[in-house]
Parts: sequence; structure tokens; C-alpha cells
Amino acid sequence: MTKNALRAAGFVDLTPDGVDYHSDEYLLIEDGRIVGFDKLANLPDDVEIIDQSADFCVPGLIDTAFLPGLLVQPDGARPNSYGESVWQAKQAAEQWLASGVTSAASMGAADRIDFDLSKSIAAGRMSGSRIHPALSPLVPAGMAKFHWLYGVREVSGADDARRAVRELIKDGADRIVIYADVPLEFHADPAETSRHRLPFSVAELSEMVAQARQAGCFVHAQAISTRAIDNCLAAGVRSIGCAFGLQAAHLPIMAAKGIALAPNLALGATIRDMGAAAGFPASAINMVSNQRIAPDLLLHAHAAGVDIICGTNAAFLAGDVYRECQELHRAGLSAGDVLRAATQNGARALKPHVEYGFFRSRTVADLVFVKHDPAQNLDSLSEISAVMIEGTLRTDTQIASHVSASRPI
Amino acid sequence: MQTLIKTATLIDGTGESAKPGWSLLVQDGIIIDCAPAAHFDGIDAEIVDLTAGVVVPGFLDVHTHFCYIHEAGFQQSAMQPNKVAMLDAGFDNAEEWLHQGVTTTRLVGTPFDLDIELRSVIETHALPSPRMVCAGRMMTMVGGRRTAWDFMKEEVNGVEEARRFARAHLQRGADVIKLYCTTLLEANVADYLTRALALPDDAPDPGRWSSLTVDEIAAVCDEAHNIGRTVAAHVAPTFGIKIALRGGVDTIEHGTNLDNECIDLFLETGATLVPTLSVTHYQIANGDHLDMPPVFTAFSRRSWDKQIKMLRKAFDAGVKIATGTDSIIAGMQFYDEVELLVTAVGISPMDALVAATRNGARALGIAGEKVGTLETGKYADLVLLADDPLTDIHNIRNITAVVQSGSIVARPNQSDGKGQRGHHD
Repeated sequence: MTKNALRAAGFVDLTPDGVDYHSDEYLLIEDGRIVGFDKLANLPDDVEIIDQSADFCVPGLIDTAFLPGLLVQPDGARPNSYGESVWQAKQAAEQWLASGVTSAASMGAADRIDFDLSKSIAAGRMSGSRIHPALSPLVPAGMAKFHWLYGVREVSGADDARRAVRELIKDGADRIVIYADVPLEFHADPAETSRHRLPFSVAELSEMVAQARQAGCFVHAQAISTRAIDNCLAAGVRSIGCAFGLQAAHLPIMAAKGIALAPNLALGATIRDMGAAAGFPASAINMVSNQRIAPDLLLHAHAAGVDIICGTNAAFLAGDVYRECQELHRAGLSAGDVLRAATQNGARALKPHVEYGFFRSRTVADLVFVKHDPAQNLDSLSEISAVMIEGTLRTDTQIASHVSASRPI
Repeated sequence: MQTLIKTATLIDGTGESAKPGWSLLVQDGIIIDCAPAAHFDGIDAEIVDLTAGVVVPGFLDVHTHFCYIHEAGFQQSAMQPNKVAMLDAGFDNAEEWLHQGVTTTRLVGTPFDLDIELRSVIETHALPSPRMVCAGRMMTMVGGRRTAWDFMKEEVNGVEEARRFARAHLQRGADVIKLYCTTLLEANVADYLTRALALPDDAPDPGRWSSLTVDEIAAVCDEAHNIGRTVAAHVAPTFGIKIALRGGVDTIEHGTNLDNECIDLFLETGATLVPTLSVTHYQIANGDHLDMPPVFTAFSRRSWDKQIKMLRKAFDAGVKIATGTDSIIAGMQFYDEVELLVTAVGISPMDALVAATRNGARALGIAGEKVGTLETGKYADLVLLADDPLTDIHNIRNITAVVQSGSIVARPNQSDGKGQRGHHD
């Protein structure tokens, strides 16, 4: 058994009342899992001390909307082959880890890239965040050609929905990702485009949720139109991304059902900044960058008890988790609430059995070290000095070299 | 801007004597002149000083499997191959081989045509790598998918299917077509080897084999040769070597069991032999530590002497030999293949260098036209060795610079830290 006691300048342990820094305490870790905090005098004799006393420690960040293999480079280049998709997924996984993301929930990928990547990283063959694969995202039948995400699977009807989820889980999906509505046509006016989005039915969504639940998986839905959000809430998906059509009436339902909200603000921000240079059509830039959840509605959701979660959904390498955190902060969430979104809330939305995002006993020792207290100043997330994955500290030059590269432009 | 590469001693790969004090004038990565240094006096060119040692052409390893994953259990997991891991292994191996002075390689059989994908990514992002000549998936006969690499083979039956495969595969981007010419139809290979070991050396092979036909092979060769591409044949048993050579292949890979008729056929067809000695030798030397039944190593030990004897006979008869490692075991190095030609087969260091340079290039068809020797019209791909390989072939390990297209791309044995992988000038 490997026993480590971790010392830090402060442990940013987010409690309902604020932050407990566990001053003068060590974090005991056994075989990659957290045991708990204790005083030096109480530590076991055979424990090895890891001294990170120059850094503050937070639980590893969780990106609930990681897009492997579909990452548009700052110069606009997009993957156009399997090999290129793999190359970019490899780069992204390394950069996400360097950005402090220890768990990245895939939004799906073609050719099982996210699954193969997750296995390669888990086996130590490749470096990167832990990937939770989704394999093929599900879209309403007939919609694949309108969808820019490679590898989608079309579904029509409850029977087909059941089959799709069963097969995905059998093939290794750790979560089910659906695009709850897809545009039939694009218009310059985002509202007009939204009117022409074809959604999954409640019956289809309910079947997906039921099948996933039996397998211990959650369903994450990207839902744009109000009608699609209605259907997702009725079916009881675990989390909703983008949610441009979110309305105040949805919030009590989400809070009551425990449905989390991933505003995916980094996506709009990066496309707004870089979409034209990257060759996105003006209508798409207009739709994505101008459509976002209004800050007051986001704050309203937070106040209503809806879990806000951090999901980049960023098709640009620059649209990383730091940017998502910044955007959430700009929208009005406190630094502590942003950290909560990027750790605890994300962990709860990832799996029914919470294994990450907390300093709790028996959670996985995924940790991030930063120079300053991020609960006081969120910008400290831009200076990550080390990352711990399952109790193994990563401070090598590979991670360091990717930190600067992963900062937003 | 032209570049003048100065050398103290130049071995150009043609087999001619070393040339003291020669220089290479390079433009756009191509050698445009090669002469004694005085010939270039006063020339306005960027100087690359490679006078601290002996310059040889960049090496060619014409039998690699960069995307092969070196780990126990991989073969058993062949039905669920991890394509991402295989591609990633390709990136690592490409850089590793470049650091061993291999500036051109031929990948002879990669599942899902991942080598073609690998090459595309490497070229797009200018990643460190040898130039890559790709075979993609292999072609074999119906019923021939019996080994761990089953998932990278496509089966054909008859001349027209073979021709169709060749055309389609060339269209997919293959530079060379790899034929898995013979397949051992034994469910238990260890049992077969045990039976074979119990027989006298000159007894008939006790195995059940299937093979492509001469006509099937000839159809593939016809399509490939029409457009300057080549055909490589994996084959070990004697009868298979003859079938492949009669079909017109350009290279025999392994060719473990040569007989006199095989040698005659090599000379008649002009085919090149890629004996892949190092994989067998590595297995013999390290078999006790490898993840394979002991009988594999025992069989290799017994066949080694005969293979070496016939290889020497083939060389003396004029059969062209090229270097290929068959790099499927972790820890193997390109150097081993070159050194074994000298230390085991007994040919001269100069002939071993020619095998590692010119002969490999000549076996690649149009893909090899600009590599292999340091002559006008060829890429300025070369290796600077600290010590003379002609006095001791092991000096090929003392690489201080690897050059592609006239630019230094790796400094493997530098003490200033530039030798670390990942550093590029």
C-alpha cells in the first residue's frame, strides 16, 4: 500500500459555508485515494510526505464537455482525417491535463477515438486527462448531415433509442451524449434558426435515460430550443448543455429533479473571437456567439439551486477550462461557486457514484496545485504548477510546456 | 539560399571508397553538386560544418512496423485493437528511428492503413520522422488470416480479386503492396515448432501451409509496377520464396529458408532480399525474457546457422541485400541489423553500409529514387558519425547529427543536451 501525506499552503475545501483551508493539516492519501485530513503528529509512521507547501491545492477540475478529435486550431485548421483527429485529440488531452482538468467527459468522437484515448491514458501509454468516453453522440434521424460533430449516430423512435444506448454501453461508453435538437436549416436570425430545430421526443429521451440509468450512466443532452429543453426535463436527463432556449420556468424543475446546467460559455466566447478566422460561416458565428444564456438567468438558476457545471464544449484549443471558468465568473458567479462548478458539481453530473471533485474520504486523489488561492482570485488557475492524478504527482516538463500553450489567446 | 555541407570523410553509399574532404552543395533539400572542398571555394552559401567525423547517407530501414504495440497481451487483444494507441506508438517510433540515423523507412504492413494516416499527420505538423514509404494493410489468400496480425490483412481469391485489391490499395495511398504470401495453417504454432524440431534438418517441413498463387502475385506486381510502385512479399518457407519470386515481387521479406534455386531466382529477377536478421537474433538473445513459448526461441536457434550460411551464399552470388529490422519487439534497434551483416554474415562494413543505404533505396521503386546515396539529384539526407564505420561497424551507433534535406534534425549523442529527443534545430 502506498501512503502519502500531502502538505499545501492551503486546501481549498469548498463547504456550504465557504472554504475550509485545513490549516496545519496534511491530506492523507492511500493507493491513490483520499483518506482524509489529519495533523502531522497523527500520521502513520510509514507515510511519505509530499511537500507542495508553496501551492494551494484544489480538487482536480472536471470538464463535462470535452471534444476530442474535433478541435479547430487557432489558424482555422480542422481535422480532415482519422490520423489528424487522433493527433489533435492527443494534443487536447495533454493540454487539458496541463490546464488542471483531471477528468474530461467526452462529447463523443468518430471511430471510437475517445474510447481508445481513454484506454491509452488509463494504461499510462499516453499522457492526458482521464477521459470518460461517450463514443457516438445520438442525434434525431436524418440529422447527421447537418451536424458538424463527426461520428454521430442517428436514432428514430423509442426502440431505436433503447438499442442505441444498449450498444453504446456495451461498446464501452461511460456516458450517453445526445444532441436533443438539431437545426433543419440555418438562418441569419438565431431565433429563426431555433424555430427550425428538430428535437428528440420525450418517449425517445425517456428510453435513453432509463437504459443509461440501469447501466449506471448518465445522459447529457445538448439542447438549444425551448421545446428540446422541455423534453429533456420531462425525460429526466442528468445535465443540459448550451440551453440557449432556457426559460425561468425551467429552473424549479431542474432544481427539483437535480438536472445540472452546463452553459458552455467558452464555446461562444472563442467562436466570437476566432470564428471568422477559422472559416466558420457568418450565420454559425452569429448563432453561437450571440446566443447564450443571459447572465441574469444564469444567476437566477444558481440561486434557484440548479447545479452549474463547467463544460468547455470548445471546438478551439484555446477554449479551455480556464476560459470557461473566466466566463462563468464574468457572468456573476463568485470564484468559489465557479470552483464548485468545475469540481463538485461536475463530479456529481459525471457518475451516480461520486468519485472525484471533493476532498472526501475514498474519492480519487485527483488534485491541482496553484500558486495563489483560487477561491480569492480565480486567475490563479492560469498558473498551475502541478497536477496529481490518482495520487501520482505530475510536475514533468511535458505538463509544464503545455500550460502556456493552453491559455486562451 | 544554397547550403554547403562540409565533410572530413564522405562515404556516399554507392560502394565506392570514402572521399576525404568532399563537400555537398544543397539547394531546396537536394544535392546539386558533390566534389572536393576546393571546388566550392568562394561560393556564397550557408555552411554546415560536418567535419567532426565521417558522413554517410541516411540509413534505410525497409522493414518496420512503427504502429506495432510492444506489450504482452497485445497479440491476444488483436480483436479489439486500440487504433489511437497504435498511432501514438507510430509517432514515438518515428522519432526514435530518426535518432538512430534512419532517414527513410518502409512500413510493411499496418492495420487499418494507419501508416498512411501517420505519414499524413507527420508531414502536416513537420514532426520528427524518417521519410515514410507505406504499405498499409497486407494482402493474403482467403483463409490466410491466422496470425496475431490478422486484422491488418485483406484476403483475396483469384487473379481478378488480387488485381482489384492492388488497384484499390494503390488508390488509398500505398507506395508498396505487402503480400503475406504464405500462411501456416496450424492452430497451435508451438506444437508445429515442436514437431519440426524433432525432425532432422533436411526433413520436409511438417507444417500445413497455404499460399498465394504465382498468378495472383503476378497480377499485383503488374498493377504496382505499371506506376512505379513495388511489391514486398512476406515469406519464410522455401516453396513460398520461389512462388513469390516467380510472381515478380521486388523484395523478399525474411526469406529464412533459401536454397540454391531460390538464389538463382533472385539473380534472374533482380529482387532484393530483406533478411530481417535482427528480429530473429534479438529473439535468440533475449528469448528467455520475452512473452513467447520457449520453443519459438529454440526453433530460431536451430535455424539461425543455416539461414546465415545461405544468406552468405546468396550475397557471394550477387543477390542484393537490404536492411530491415522487422521492429516488433521493444528494445530492438536498427544498428543491430547492420552490425549482424558484418558480425554474423561476414560481409565487409562497406557492403553492410551499401545494404543499409543504396540497396534499400533501390528496392523502393520511385519512392526510393532520391534517397540512399549522396549523389547529385538526391536528397541531402545524411548521418554524421563520430568514428569511422569502415574500421568498426559498431561505430554506426556514434551518431552526432542526423540531416534531412540539408538541415540537422537530430543530434542523438551530443553532450550539450541537444541530443535529447524532441530537440530540433
